[in-house]
Amino acid sequence: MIPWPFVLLLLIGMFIHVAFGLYSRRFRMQPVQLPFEILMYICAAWCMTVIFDICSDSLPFKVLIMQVRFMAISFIPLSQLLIAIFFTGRGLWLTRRRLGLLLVIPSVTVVLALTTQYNTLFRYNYSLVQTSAGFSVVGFLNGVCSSAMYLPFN
Amino acid sequence: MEAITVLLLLHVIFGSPRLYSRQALLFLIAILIPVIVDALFTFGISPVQGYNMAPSTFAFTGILLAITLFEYRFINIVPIARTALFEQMGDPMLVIDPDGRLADFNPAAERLFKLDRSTGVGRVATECLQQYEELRVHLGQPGPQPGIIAVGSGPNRRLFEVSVGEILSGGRVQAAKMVVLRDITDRSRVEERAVHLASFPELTPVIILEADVNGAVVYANPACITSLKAIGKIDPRIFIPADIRDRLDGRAIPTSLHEEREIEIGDQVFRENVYFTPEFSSVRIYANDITGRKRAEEALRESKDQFILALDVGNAGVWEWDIETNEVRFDARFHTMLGYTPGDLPFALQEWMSYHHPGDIQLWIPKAEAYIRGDSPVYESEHRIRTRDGDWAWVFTRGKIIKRTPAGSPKLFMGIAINVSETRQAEAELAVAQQRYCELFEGVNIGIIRSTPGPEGAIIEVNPAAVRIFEADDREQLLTVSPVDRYADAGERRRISDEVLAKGFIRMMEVRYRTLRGKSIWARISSTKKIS
Repeated sequence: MIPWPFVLLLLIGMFIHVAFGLYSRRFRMQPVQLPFEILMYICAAWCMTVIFDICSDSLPFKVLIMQVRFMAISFIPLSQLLIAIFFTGRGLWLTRRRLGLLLVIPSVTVVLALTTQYNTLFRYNYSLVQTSAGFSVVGFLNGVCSSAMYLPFN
Repeated sequence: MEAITVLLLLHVIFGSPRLYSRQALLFLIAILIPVIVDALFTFGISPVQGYNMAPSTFAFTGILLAITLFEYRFINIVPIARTALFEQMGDPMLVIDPDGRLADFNPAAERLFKLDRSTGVGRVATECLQQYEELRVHLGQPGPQPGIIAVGSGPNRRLFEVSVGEILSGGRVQAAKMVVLRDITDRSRVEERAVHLASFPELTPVIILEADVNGAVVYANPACITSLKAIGKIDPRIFIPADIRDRLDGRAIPTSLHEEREIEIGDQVFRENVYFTPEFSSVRIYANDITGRKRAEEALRESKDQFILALDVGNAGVWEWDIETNEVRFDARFHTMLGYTPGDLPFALQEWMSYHHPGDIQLWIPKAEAYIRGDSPVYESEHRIRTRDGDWAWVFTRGKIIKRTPAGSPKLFMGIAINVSETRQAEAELAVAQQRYCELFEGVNIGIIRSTPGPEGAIIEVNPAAVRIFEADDREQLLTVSPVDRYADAGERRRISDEVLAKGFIRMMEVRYRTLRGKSIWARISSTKKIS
């Protein structure tokens, strides 16, 4: 059974963010535009993966979708930070070296998410959990790196 | 990362103009809602148990983003203007902290002072800028009055206006000094040029005056004021011709126009150039006092008229000799004087010499050469020139060098020539007459005595017959004696003298004289009064 109210809400959010991402391309001369556009697409991707997640009852598929989701949402805080940096006119602060450092945690998160079957550092012991709304989601236990990453990340 | 993002946005919210503050606030709320929901889910709080509602909030946060984007023009207008100004503006800017260290500087300052951002920030400003002594002086003197410094030398020398301002923290404590250098090289050059140009009307002796469309004088240069004082006037509008004043009717000047005229103010005469300048809605007048020139012209005209009259009356002409080309030219009077029609006489000196009497060429050529060499102060000559009829005319000529080459060599020799043939002839005739008189005076057998009048008198001249009559040894002896002593009656001399002086002459009067040897003789005399 497809949870339409949730799906519709997510679809609206997805389309809105895609639309904003495309709209922002009108201002490509602004340095803040690129991180903003990326953020919009990441949010849209997040919505889309959640739609696939809640519409499916297959655990392996849900785990796969979760891995795909983390490939995108790991970069949300970084995108927001870049927007804030460029918005406040501190673009010069952002050197290649500093950008590389900022990319470390998201990249490690993506690697851990993609290798979740092979270690317990990020998340493990996946299972189907029935929500109160009647659809199932992935249940899991947090690994040691999950919280460690969550704090500095957010 | 999220915390830094929040802090940056909060800084904008509380420290920026309203537009940027609203942008930052809405964007912050839009990104915080999913984060908060996500955090609540992490702690087990969610409206739907087991489901993370964070992505579902995007539909709502999208509304906030829409307002941010379309109402407050997020992205389109972001509060980077100040930073962009700092980074991109062409004027060098330095930020110096309270310890005198360079806190920041923009790329323009980097280029100007050859600073390196990676190593320059944090260094003591006066050390980094030690070769810019003038700037270092200003660094310690924040204030409203900007200073001017020069950077570079030669053609790369630039002038900067240095403003040092304080950046206050919390409105009270000085957090830093902001040093802004504004490149005023071009402006300074323009100003210098303007001052330079402005000095022209101020210093020129030409009167310059500008009047607006109503005829009111809006500019009068010092020469105008000086001239007004000199002629005892006050109102500079006297330099605006009356008809020009009438034509100014308060409307814009329709067309560009230039007129030239002379006006008289009192005894003075001014030549005026009147320019109608529609681009400035004004009339400009440039006036020169030409009184002196006018008087000189009149005097010259009179002098020229007198000279021409003198030439006409004196039967004279003008000649000139170009010493460099050896060409000679004669005016019409010169031609007429010798019976030629204008243009008959040759231009070449060599040919002109053939018009001279062969015996006179060696008379005038050496004189002319001596004068040209400077050996003689004046050139004058009297020689014969062949007339059109083939006769010889005596010409008196006098000349002067009137033009020299830049090296000082004579270039143009000019003079006048007067036909003195008649004078020459009269002189010759006079000489003949004088010869005849002398022969008569000496050869006649009648005694002739010239003496001064009066009772005493003195004998001036006697002829040989008189010497014989008065039995003198020679002419000199008779000239030394007193005429009174030669009369037998001394009173006779007085009577004769008075009668001659009264009537002018006496005729055939018989008088008894006494010779130098004491012999008494009777003589019949005639006498005539001569006035010299």
